[in-house]
Formats: sequence, structure tokens, C-alpha cells
Amino acid sequence: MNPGLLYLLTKQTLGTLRKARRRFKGPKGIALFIGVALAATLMIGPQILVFMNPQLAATDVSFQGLLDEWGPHALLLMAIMTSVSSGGLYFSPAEVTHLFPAPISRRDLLLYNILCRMKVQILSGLLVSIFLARWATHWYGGVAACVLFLIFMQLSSQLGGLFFATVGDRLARPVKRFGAIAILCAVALLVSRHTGFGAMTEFSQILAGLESVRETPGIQQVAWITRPFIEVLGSPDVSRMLLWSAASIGVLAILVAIMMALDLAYLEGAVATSRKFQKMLERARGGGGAMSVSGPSKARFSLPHLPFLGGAGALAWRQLTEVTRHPKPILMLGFMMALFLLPMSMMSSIRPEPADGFGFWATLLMLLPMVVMTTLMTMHLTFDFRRDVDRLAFLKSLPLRPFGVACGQLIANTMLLTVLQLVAVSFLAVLGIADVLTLLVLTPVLLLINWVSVGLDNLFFLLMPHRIVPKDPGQAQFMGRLMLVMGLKSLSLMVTLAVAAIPAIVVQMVVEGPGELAALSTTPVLAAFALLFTWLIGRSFQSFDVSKDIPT
Amino acid sequence: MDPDTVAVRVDNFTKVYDQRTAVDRLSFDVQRGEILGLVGPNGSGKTTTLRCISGILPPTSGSVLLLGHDVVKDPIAAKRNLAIVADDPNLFESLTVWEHLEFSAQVFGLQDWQARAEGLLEEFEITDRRQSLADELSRGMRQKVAICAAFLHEPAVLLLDEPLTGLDPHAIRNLYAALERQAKEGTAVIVSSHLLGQISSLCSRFLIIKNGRALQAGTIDEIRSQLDALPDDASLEDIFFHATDVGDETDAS
Repeated sequence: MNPGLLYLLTKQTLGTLRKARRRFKGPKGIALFIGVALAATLMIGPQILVFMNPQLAATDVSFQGLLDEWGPHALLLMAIMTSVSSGGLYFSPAEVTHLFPAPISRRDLLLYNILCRMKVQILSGLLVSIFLARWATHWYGGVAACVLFLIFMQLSSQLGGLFFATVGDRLARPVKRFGAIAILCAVALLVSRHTGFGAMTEFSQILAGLESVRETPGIQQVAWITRPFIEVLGSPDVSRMLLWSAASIGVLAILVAIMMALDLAYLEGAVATSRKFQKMLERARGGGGAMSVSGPSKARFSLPHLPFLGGAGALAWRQLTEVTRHPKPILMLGFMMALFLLPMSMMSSIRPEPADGFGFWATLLMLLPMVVMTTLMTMHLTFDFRRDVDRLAFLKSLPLRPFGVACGQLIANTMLLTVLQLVAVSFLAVLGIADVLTLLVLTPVLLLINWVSVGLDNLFFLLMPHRIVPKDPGQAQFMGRLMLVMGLKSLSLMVTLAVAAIPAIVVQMVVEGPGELAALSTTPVLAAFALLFTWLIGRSFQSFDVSKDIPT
Repeated sequence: MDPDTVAVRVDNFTKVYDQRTAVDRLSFDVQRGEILGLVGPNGSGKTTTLRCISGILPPTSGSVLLLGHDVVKDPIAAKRNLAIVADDPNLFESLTVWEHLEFSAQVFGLQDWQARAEGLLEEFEITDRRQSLADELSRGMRQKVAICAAFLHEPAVLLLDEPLTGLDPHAIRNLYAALERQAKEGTAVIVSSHLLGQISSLCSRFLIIKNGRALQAGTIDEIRSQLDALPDDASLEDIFFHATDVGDETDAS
């Protein structure tokens, strides 16, 4: 391998650590470090407690059996899916600029690409294992399995990418676009005909059919490729774990050897893929999150102007107009809510009787998951400061008070979240599961909670600027930053809601009246928090240093 | 082709993206010690040409030879004598300025490169930023780092795509001086730029392209003499407008 590539691999890793160290300097850096440490403790702490408690840590025997029977096949299917859906080999713009014209062979470049991405997968595997290792027989098996599994997926994707960057490049566009779907449909059809799925009506019959497919000798043999990874997860002791890890590494080495042996002319395809991907990321960074990478829709209708309201109206109008031009994230969130609602709408056991006074609690029960879901999904609904990451200098140049700017930037997302939640629960009201009147009474509470939720997103964004999508795919620090922000947001929101619940509890104890009254009693506290956060956002916006590039 | 005199030979080179022809049967030579100005309107194929010469993209047809080495068939030997400064100074964000030079030295297998690197940093006035990370630099500074990294291994063929963007007047003057010095030492330089007034005094020859086709090639005097309607003192800008407008009329007819 070219020594320059080895140098680059090492220095980039050290450079990332150096960047992190520089970021933790100064009072703001120390605060950030404390935040990171806190979030890490919150994430890792409960997992360590689970490990330390043998009863909690004990893996369910039936789960182990299921994993043993289906794990290799599921993993194989995932690898095939990853491979056929791979967009191509990705190189960052700096890599294309500096490495492609350099006297470096294609094989060296490919090996560099593999090692570079592998580094990220190892970090991601360690991170993921914090949450998944408890499902392994032993934690060390869990950690090793997570890392090896992610590397396996990465290599599968790169193998597919290599194919599409060379052979696939010569295929006609419809073949490229629908090829993978066509292959999957053909496989599904063959499996269906083999097992007679079409005539099956019972779940057990379908399961039996799938089992018969699984037991097919050919599939059993192919599944041996992925079996070592599953065995690492279920290893009963260290020696067995090491043995199966070695077998897994052998599988990975074979994949790498195949890629090296092919030595395909992938450079042009890689340049095209990288350019396409960069364009997509730029669009996502400047225009609406990870779900709107395909660009704005063709809708061109204009919304009526809002009152000025210290500039907030104009800014909110601009954001709301953008909402109409980028319906994809909203449709996506709506779709996910619908998926969640479907089983709920079938739960006849929780359907309240009209006269039993259970309407409030049933509605609340329906509403809570919606609120939690939308709160977690706000990283994809970014019609606020986060969307304007590259336009903050312009916003600062406007003759508006920071508080007005903060309000204007929060309105669109808050309204959007509230409307989504209300539409979802109204659907349940139509089915008779939720109460419309309760829903109407709870609307101001919802609005305030959403304002606080969106406000927290924006506050942490302005304090710890980050892009909503990474500058390059697979940046481990990007994932870490997102998790940190999510942890801090959840913590702050929980504190806010806990304080807001105090008057509700008092009202409920004193009056023992309708739940709606207790819920409404939270509004003054929530409004106070909303005002406080908006003021803080205004202050943070005012002191935001636009001269510094926003880290990913 | 004599690699002692001809550093770059582009022969009947065509590049097609999907179904769009970006460069159409382009042929030209660049001698050692020559500075060729590659000029043309937006989308004329300048960047594609430079990217294919540097081996980033393969030509759809035709050939590109660097010092006698085919950039497709023998890429490593061809690229050993090449450097390119891209239109966008993409640097590795977590590497310092000095580490970029160190990386370049490693890639090209240079020995005792430190003194030359120091000299380049001084020449382009970025010595005080040697420990800065790339993402702490302005665009102009990044451009300077990219130029220093390209100059480090003293390439026989130097390609610069819009190199003046973001540079301050001092840096432009220093870049010109460095390019002229390199050319005197035998380096073949190809500069693509829209700033015609800036490069007219730098380049010894020009190639005007539009829609991927060569419209005019030669020294300013040679091109001027080929275009009857132009006065004797016509500038590169006048020549460019005339040549590309005539190109438009030809396309229309």
C-alpha cells in the first residue's frame, strides 16, 4: 500500500481526536464536555447496571433459539439487500481531489477506502454494542459481534458499490433503478411458488412455509457464510468467542480478497457517486433534513402573509412556505404515525365506553405516544434554525430583535408537529377510541409542549452547532453529536414536564374533577418554560459566531 | 512523441456523460516549459478536460499522454509527474497545513522535502498557519495549501483549474512568479481561468474551447491573425468574445 495512504489513515484518525480535544477547550468546551459525559453516563449507566444484574442480563433461551435458527438467514438477507441497494463506492471530495490524480493504484485506493470506512464501522459497532450487547450470552461476545457484523455489512455494501460503479454504470437507467426491486420480486415469487404461500391464511402456515425454505439444503449451505457472526453473539465462553471471531474475520478477509481480485475500473463511477452524494448532502444540509434529499417539490402556491409580529410573522411565513415545498419529511412522519396507529386502532380492549368517564385518559393514552414519537423525530422536521445553518449570517443581518427571530423560526415546526398529532388522534376519535372534546381542550397544552420541544432542539443547535446530516457519510462524531443532543433534549424535556405536572397533580388531588382541568393547569408553567427557552434561543442566536464553520 | 519536448499530448479526446458530450474530439500538445491558457465559457469542458488529463476521469475515446505515458493504460507512471490544483480546494479537514504537505511527500515518495515545503509556505505567506487544521482556514488559505502541495514534488506537468479564485493580490503575484519559474525549469503548465485579463500575460499559448470543441489555438498573435475582423491590438478578452460569438453563429447555422 502506498505509504501516503497509510499516513493519511493514521493522521485522519489522530486529527479527529485532535479536533475533538480542541473543541473541549474554553468554558464552552468544558460545558460541552460535561454534557457529553452526562449523556454518556445516561446511556451507558443503565446498560452496565443490566450487565451487573445476572437476572436482568440473562438472555432468554427462546430468543437464543430463534437467533440460532433464523439469525444467519436474516443476516444474509440483510447483506444481500445492502449489497443490491448500494449507491456505489463513495470517496470524499478531498479524496477525489488528492488521491485520484496521485500515482496510486486502483487496488491501493480501494483498500484505503475499505480501511477508512472500516474504522468508522468499528467505532459505530462499539457504540451500538452498548445497547445490544445485553442480548448476547456474554457482553464480550456482544461487542465483538456488533463490530464484526457492521464490518460485514459495510463490505457487502462496498462489493455491491463496486459492481454498480463498474458494470452497473453501463446498464440502462431503468435497469439500474428497478433492477434490485425486480431481483427481490423474482426471489419472492420463486419462494412463494416453492412453498405455496398464496394459499396460506394462517400465520403458523406462513411460518412453516418459511421454515421449509430455510431448511432447503442450498440455503442452509449459503447461510454458513453468516453463521460465524451469529455464533460470536451466542458464544458461551471466551475461547469459543475467539474461535468464531476468527472465522468471521476469515469471511471478511474473503470479501476483501474478492474485491481486490476483481480490480474493476471503478474510478469514474466512484467520482459520479461521490458527486451525486455530495449534492444530496448539500441539499439536505441547506434544505430540510435527511428526508428531503430529493429536492423541493414542484408545488408553487403561496401562503397568505402573517401579521408582522416583530418580524416573527415574516420569518414564520417563509418557513411555512418551505413546508409546502418540502412535503417529503412530513409525509414520512405521517406514514410512521399511521404505522403506529394501525395496531392501536385495532385494540378494542382499550376502547372506552362513552358513559364511564374514561375518555380523557384514553385520549391521553393515545396522545402520549404521538407526542413522544414526534419529539424523537424532530431531527427530520427542521423548518427552523437548523435548516438555516448556512443562512445564519443573513438572519443576523435582519433589522429584527433576537426574540422575534427566535419566535419566527419556531412557529412553523411547532404548528406542524401539533397538526400532525391532532390529525393522528382525530383519526382515533373518529373510530371512537379518543374523545374529540378532550382533544380540543388539550390543544393549547400540545402547542406549548411542542414549542418547548422544538425550542430545545434549536437551543442545543445554537449552543453546539451541528449539521442535520453529516458532511461525509459514516462520520462517527456526527452520530455521537446527534445522540448527545437527543439525550440532552430528552432530559430537559422530562424536567420541564415534571415541573409542569406539579400543578396538575395538586389540582387533581384538590378538585378530583375532570382530568381536562388538571391538564390545563399545566399551561402557565409550560408557557413560562416556552418563554424562557425562546429568550435563551434569542440570546444564543445573538451571540452565535457566524465566522466559524459549523461542524458536522 | 518525444517526451523530452512534448509533456502533454491530448489526441482526439472525447468525453461523454450519459448521453451528453462534454468534450468532442479535442487534440492539442503542451510542450515542456510552456504555459497553456485553457479558456472557454461555463460548461465548455475545461474542468472535464483537466480531470481527464489528470486521470481522475477516463476519456470515453481518444488518448491522453503525459511524458509519453498513457494516463489510462499506465496511470501510475503518468501521474508520477503530475499535479493538479482543483477548482474547489478540497482539503482533509482533520489534517493540518503541514500534514497536507507531509502527506503529499509520502504519496510521491519524496526525501528531504521539508526545506522545500518551508520555502513554499513562506512564498505563499502561510508559514504562521502551518499547525492550523484545514477547516480553520479561509477559502483563499485553502487554495494556497492546495497550491503548495501541488508544487512540492516539482511536477513535470502542472494543471490548475481556476486557481485565482479566492487568492489575494499578493498570492496571485506569487503564484504567477512560481508558475513562471516552474515553466523555466521545464514544467508544462495548463491553467484554466475565466479571468482573461489576469492570465493573458502569464500564458504563452491559449486554447479557446466551447461546447467541448476547440475554437482557436495558438499564441495571442497567431489567433489574432486568424481572426480577420479583429484589430492588431485586440486583447485576449476581445479574441475570446469574437471567437465564442463566431462559434455561436457557426452552431446556429
